[in-house]
Amino acid sequence: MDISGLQMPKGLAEMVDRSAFHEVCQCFCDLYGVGLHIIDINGNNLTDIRANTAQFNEYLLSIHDLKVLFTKLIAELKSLPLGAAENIVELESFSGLCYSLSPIYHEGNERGRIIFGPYRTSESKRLPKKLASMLKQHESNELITLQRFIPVISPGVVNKIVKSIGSLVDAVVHNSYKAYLTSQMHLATMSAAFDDLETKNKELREVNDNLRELDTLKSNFISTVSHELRTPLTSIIGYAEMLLEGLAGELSQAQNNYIGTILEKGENLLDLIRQVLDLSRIESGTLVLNKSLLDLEDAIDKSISDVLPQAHKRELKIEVNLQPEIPPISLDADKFRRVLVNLLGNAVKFSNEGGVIRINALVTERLPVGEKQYNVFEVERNNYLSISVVDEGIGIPREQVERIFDTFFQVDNSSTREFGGTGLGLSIVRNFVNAHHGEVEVVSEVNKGTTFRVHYPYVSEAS
Amino acid sequence: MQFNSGQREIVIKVVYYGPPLSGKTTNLQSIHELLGATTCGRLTTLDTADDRTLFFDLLPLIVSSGSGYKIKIKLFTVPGQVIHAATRRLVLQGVDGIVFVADSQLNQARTNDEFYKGMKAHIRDNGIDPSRVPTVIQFNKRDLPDVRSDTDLDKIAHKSIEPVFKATAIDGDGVLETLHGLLVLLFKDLQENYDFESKFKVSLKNVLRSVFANAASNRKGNL
Repeated sequence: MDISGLQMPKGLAEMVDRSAFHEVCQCFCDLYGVGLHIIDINGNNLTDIRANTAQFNEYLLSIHDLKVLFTKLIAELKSLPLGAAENIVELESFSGLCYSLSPIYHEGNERGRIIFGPYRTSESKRLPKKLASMLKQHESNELITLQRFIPVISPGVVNKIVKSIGSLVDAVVHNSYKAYLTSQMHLATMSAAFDDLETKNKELREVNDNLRELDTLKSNFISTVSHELRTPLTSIIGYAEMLLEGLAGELSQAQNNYIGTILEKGENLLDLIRQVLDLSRIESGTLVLNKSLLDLEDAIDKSISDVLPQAHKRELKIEVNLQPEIPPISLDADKFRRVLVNLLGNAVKFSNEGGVIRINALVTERLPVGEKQYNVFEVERNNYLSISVVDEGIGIPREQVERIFDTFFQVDNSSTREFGGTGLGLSIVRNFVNAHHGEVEVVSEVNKGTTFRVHYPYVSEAS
Repeated sequence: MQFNSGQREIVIKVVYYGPPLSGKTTNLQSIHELLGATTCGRLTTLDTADDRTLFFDLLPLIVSSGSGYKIKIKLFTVPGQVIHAATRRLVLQGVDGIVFVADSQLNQARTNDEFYKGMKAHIRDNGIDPSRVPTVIQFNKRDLPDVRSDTDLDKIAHKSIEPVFKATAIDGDGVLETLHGLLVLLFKDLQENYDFESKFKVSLKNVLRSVFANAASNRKGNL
């Protein structure tokens, strides 16, 4: 929108609130009983108030010969040159009644005119000679009677009234102009601000697209590298196992120990690679869920057996508490196990020696993930399978709790040295659970222990 | 510059630009007071309840050129507050001359500079080469403490490409001098680029004289 000129619209009628303007003018007319006609430069009415003159004029118009004169008068009232601002020109019509005219100026340009009248300047009961000569006696009498209703105003007062109306119109025009400018600017500013936003959005979109592309490249790279690492590692582990099993002949105690270490570290490394691979699948959005009805008890048992050697080493007890008759739930069994193994692994790592780790599984009713209220229509969506893993270990400081799910985050770096791990486990847990439209909760107190709860919906958006 | 042949008028747009609270609106108020109602139309302000300019102020100066053309010099201000950047750019559309109103206080130096550069960027955004827009700089608020000294300003004026004026707009000091300085530059530009005088049969000298015709009677002293 070009607002460089900010020209006023040519016609005042387009700009002024005519009904409000009319009301104000009506007050003036009621006060003096005189008509008021205000037109803009294009001849459009801003207001046309007839007051007490209506009957007189109607009678004039009913007389055929006078119709022409009357039309001429109207044209003259609308076109008579009025000169500079604030001029007042008085015009006496053929009927002897008078009109006062004054131009409306704004910023030095004529914008319209005020036509005040008709009114009488004296109490005279006679009609102008020329008019009388055109009328029959009864017509003259009727006009003289009707003339009485038209107010008599002295020239001085007329000037004052017209001046006042002039000031009023000036104020209204100024305010209308102001409102007009404001609205024009408003529109122009809105549109400019919108354009600016559009440009910024476009830039952001481009940056975002680039980042996404880079991210995909990164994930692909990690995925490829992890895959390439896994293949030779599997061989290393395989051969180590064969050596340990004595397939290549009896080993000495020292050889046994060394190869045992190779095997253990190799398996640790394989686990890490698998996690990195999981993460890259999550990030590249290629994570696929293979859902089937879950054998919960079996899945928990298998998960426990994965961490059992470490648990034994630290003399930890693992207790399982399953609510009876848990309805079957459809989940990706492999990912469920990985979640549980990760949580158990953490519990084992951070428990004090000789402690107890508890696994509880039960059906809970809770607010659906991402919703603020209980679902009253699809009540099944409030049902969740909730698994908690409770330890009595060192706990997590309150300010760190939110960050533990971040990739590569460790509560403090010393824990990496002390407890091992990469900081990928919980990130994977959260992503796997989220992929099922579930939720992970954590409650922890330093030196008292930590409880992780994962909630899997029985019914989710995807199902 | 706009030429409306129907109304036989030439409209020239001058923008008072500057940082927030540097006294742009005050400049227009002083001009309105000093030049009087014969030269100035109404001062229109589109402001908020707390008297901060929302879109702009507008003061038209109307002089007859003697050749049948009316010359309207429309003085606009821009809103200073940072959030109104889009409005500032809009008001600068079609600008013929600029008065950059700087705040003389030393702690405002950085803000002045930022707004000055922002102004040039806006003009460029509007597709105009800012170096071709006649511009003067006014150091306002000379009455306050901790302002850049007169000696410093004189030195600055000497080195500046754009003429520099000192003012205390709130007292009306320097306001007309600034406007006069800008109009001299602007008329020179109109003459050089549009061959204004012969095209419109107008004496710009007379126009300039007419603008300030009533200034002397409205205040003591003279230009």
